[in-house]
Amino acid sequence: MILHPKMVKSSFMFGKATSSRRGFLLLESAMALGILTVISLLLLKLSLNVLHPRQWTMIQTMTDAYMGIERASAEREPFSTIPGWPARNNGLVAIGRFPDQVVGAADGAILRGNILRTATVISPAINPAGMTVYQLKSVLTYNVPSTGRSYVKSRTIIRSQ
Amino acid sequence: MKNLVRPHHRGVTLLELTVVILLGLLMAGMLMGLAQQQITFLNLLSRQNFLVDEAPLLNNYINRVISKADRFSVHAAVPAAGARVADAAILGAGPTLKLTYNLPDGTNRESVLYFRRAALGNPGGLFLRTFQPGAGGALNTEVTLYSATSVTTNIIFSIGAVGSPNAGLLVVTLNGPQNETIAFAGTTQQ
Repeated sequence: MILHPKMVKSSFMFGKATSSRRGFLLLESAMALGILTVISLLLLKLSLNVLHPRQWTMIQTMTDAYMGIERASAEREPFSTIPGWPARNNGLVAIGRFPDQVVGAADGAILRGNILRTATVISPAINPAGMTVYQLKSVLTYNVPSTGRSYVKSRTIIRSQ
Repeated sequence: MKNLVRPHHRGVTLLELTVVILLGLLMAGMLMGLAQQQITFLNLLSRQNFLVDEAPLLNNYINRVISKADRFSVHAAVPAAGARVADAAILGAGPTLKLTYNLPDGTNRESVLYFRRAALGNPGGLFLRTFQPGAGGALNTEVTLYSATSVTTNIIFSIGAVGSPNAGLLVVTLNGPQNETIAFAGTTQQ
């Protein structure tokens, strides 16, 4: 069969074009994979940026609530029994419980802390009224589970006769 | 005239085809992973909602209601529909808090703050029932302060016995839908 010159040219050009594109799909796929990896890492970072402050908020809510109980306890304690107030709650305490990660798994971690109560008599020498004055202090030490860092929170109540 | 001559195409080898299929599968897998990552993130976010949003609001709300009362007592039973608290006050934990408000004329007004757990066909929540002044005052209103959609959600009022770490304190313990727990002081016992 005799081919028309135009036909030969066209076929030749098509062949050239095809050969220049060979391997291009591999490049495209590699680029797509790279972009997908970057996007997934960015999304992961964004998710962590949202989750970490929320976890911090949860811990602060729980510890603040616990310190509220300590404060109320210091305010409620009868004046005559204040010297015995520290001994009633000292040591390791359960502050709260984090939500379960899996439905029905009961795997929520318990946030624990160490409480130290003190009741100090403020010297009448620095007290112009000469009253008996107590300084009741609760110091809570707790660890943030994600970082392992230790934090301290305290509340002080002054009680006078 | 119809051109019967087809241009020459070079076929793909089995190796090339395999590489393309593998790359396609890899990309599909990565996309699935991305979707799964977002679903997990949203799930974690929603699991934290109770402690981050609802618990502080409830704390604030309950504190405001209780602090207006002159006296309060914890009761073990949820009162019947429209009724007053019938059982005796306890030192311990219970779902019901009886609140008493002194009025300027020497009489008092009563209200009941109680939590009913959600059950089948029975929406749970925190309810405040108020009565007209006087010992036999009729039911005034009943409002829902908080609606609980999960059966695990619970609110417990407790007053510590003498000698306990929370002696005389009203402690409100909140259990969330994911079994999360937070406790705060309602107010001190008068």
